[in-house]
Order: sequence, then C-alpha cells, then structure tokens
Amino acid sequence: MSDDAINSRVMVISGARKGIGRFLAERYLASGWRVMGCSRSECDLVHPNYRHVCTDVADENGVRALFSKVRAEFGRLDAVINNAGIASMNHSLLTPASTVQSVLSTNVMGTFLFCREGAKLMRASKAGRIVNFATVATPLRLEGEAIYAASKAAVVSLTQILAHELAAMNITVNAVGPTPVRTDLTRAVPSSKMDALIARQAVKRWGEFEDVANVVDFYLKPESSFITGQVLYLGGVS
Amino acid sequence: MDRQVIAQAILGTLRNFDFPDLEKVSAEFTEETILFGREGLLDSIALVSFILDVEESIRAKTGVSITLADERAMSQSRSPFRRVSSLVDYAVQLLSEQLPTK
Ligand SMILES: NC(=O)c1ccc[n+]([C@@H]2O[C@H](COP(=O)([O-])OP(=O)(O)OC[C@H]3O[C@@H](n4cnc5c(N)ncnc54)[C@H](OP(=O)(O)O)[C@@H]3O)[C@@H](O)[C@H]2O)c1
Repeated sequence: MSDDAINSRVMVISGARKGIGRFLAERYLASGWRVMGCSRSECDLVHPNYRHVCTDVADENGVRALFSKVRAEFGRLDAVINNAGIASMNHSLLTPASTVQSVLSTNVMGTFLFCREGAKLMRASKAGRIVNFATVATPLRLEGEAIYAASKAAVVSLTQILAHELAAMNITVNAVGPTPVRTDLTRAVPSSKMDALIARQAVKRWGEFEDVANVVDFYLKPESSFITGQVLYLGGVS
Repeated sequence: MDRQVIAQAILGTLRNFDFPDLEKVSAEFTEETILFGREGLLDSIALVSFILDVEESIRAKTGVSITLADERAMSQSRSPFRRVSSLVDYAVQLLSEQLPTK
C-alpha cells in the first residue's frame, strides 16, 4: 500500500454487495477511500483498498468483529454508511410477524449497531460521519409499506437523537431518503404501483444512484461539520 | 483476575483522559478518586467517553471485551461509577463472570 493509501480516509458501508451500496463502495474506492463492506452473502467486488466481511448487520458479535477488523486493518475510521436495508410490501393484515421481525432487525437493529460500534471507533477521528438510509415511503405514508416505513421512521429518530448524543465527539449523523431507485429492492413491485408513487413526488422521475451519492457526498464533506440530525428526501418529497 | 491489573488499567486510563474541565483535575489519582456524581470529575458526556476508554484498555490488557454500562450497572442503587474503587470492583466482577474459573 502506498503512503497515500495508508493516510486515506476509511469508510464502512453495509450492504455493499449490490444495489446502492455497491455503487457507493465503487465510487468512494475510485476517489481514494479505503472501504470495509459487508453483506450476508459473498461479494465479488475486488479492489486493493476493499475488504469485505460476511455478516448480518443485526448480529451483534458479527458487527463487533467487523469493526475490530477495521481497527486492525486500517487503524482508523472516518465514515459509516448504513445502507443495508430490506423492504416488505404487503397489506398489514397479510403481514406475518416473522416479516416484521426481519425488517425491524435489519433496518433498525442493524443501523443501531453500526452507529454504536462505528462511533466508538470514530471518537478518535475528530470528524466522524454517519449516514443512515431513510425512505420517501415514511413521509408519503405509503399504503402497503407500513412495516418498512415504520422501520425507517425509527431510523429517522435514531438519526436525530444520535446527532445530539454524538455531537460532543464531533460525529455528525444524517440520513438520505431516496425515492424509488431501480434495484432488486424495487424490482418485485408492480410498475403501476411505482408510477403512482412517483406521481406524488415534486420531480416525477426515478431516482438514480448518482442522486443518492450526491447527498452522501454532501454529508461527508469536511465543510459539513455543522450539518447534523438532518434527513434529506429526494425528488422534492418532504 | 488480578484486581491490581484492573486498578492499574483504570488509573492509567484516568491519567490519559482528555478532561473537559481541567480545573477539577488533581495530579494524583487514587482508588478513592470520585469519578461521577457530587464532586465527581466527570460530567455525563465525559463519563460515556471514559467508560469506553476503560473498556478498551481492559480489552487491550486482558483480551476480554466487557460492557461496563449494562442494565445491571445502571440499576444498582450504589453506582459502580462513583469512585475508581467501585469501578475496579465492578470490572473485576464482570471479568470473573466472563472468564472460565480455573
Ligand atoms: N431502491 C430503492 O428504491 C430505495 C428507496 C428508498 C430507500 N432505499 C434504501 O436504500 C438502501 C439500499 O437499498 P437497495 O435498493 O440498494 O437494496 P438492494 O439492492 O436489495 O441491496 C441491499 C444490500 O444490503 C444487503 N443486506 C440486506 N440485508 C442485510 C442484512 N441483514 N445484513 C447485511 N447485509 C444486508 C444485501 O446483501 P445480502 O443480500 O448479501 O445481505 C445488499 O448488498 C436500503 O436501506 C433501502 O431501504 C432504497
């Protein structure tokens, strides 16, 4: 590793195997970050500055081991991108408890554990950044997404309160709320449903990976040290 | 677990700690030093950082990860975070529960 690589900033991205997380991992690797990614299944992303841990984000021991590996391999941590998330689209009356459990455990418990373990490591960096993932489904009160939207409402609360708790450690905590973006998460949803959803946005189009990355870039900038506890929804949703 | 090792780890952490309010800090820290509560060295934010530092230093010394601020600690009528001595006792107790008895 060159001196540059040793000094470069370090980021953890959950759910880096595919979708938005994969795009962000490749993008930040290309701009010189060192990245530790994770997902439940094996990941085929290969880059000299990329490491991957297979763990469920809701597995406390697995998450602890991941951050120990960050400490051992990189010796520092500058940002945590809490991207791993799952959705469930179904009428509430048809939703089994097991679905509720798994959505809450990935989206809420996973986000919490990454915030907690990440903040412990970032205490030393004097400029830590946590970016969480919300969704427009919450402010739009989307029918059929009660559990998913509720889990992301919890992520919003975590974001706002952790912003206060971690400010003394110079760590900012913000969230990005994407509109629909074409990934496996939205593939199963009928297109008529998606069209109806997009029609409720101010800017009526699908979101692109770059739209999400633009917000993450903004939160990560050194100049954004005064921006914390914010949730930025895309597409003009508020 | 040798109590002395843990006491040294905690006192060492205290000596290296980045105190928000330097005026309160004396040169000598002992097991009698009051950490938290009335006349304590640490406010609640500093206590969080201090506990994390202690957990880290115990992990470095013993290889064992303990969680000091668990529900049990929070619900005790006499807080283990009051003095260095009570924190040492509490950490030793948690460690002895985690390590297999020889
Ligand atoms: N796409 C959208 O339209 C949209 C809209 C609003 C918000 N979002 C949010 O954006 C984030 C990314 O979504 P996406 O569309 O990129 O989803 P995706 O394509 O389904 O990818 C999800 C990623 O997270 C990983 N993952 C899922 N559950 C996990 C768990 N329990 N532990 C560890 N890793 C896990 C997956 O890998 P494994 O399967 O191998 O674990 C995968 O790498 C999510 O938080 C989602 O809620 C997406």
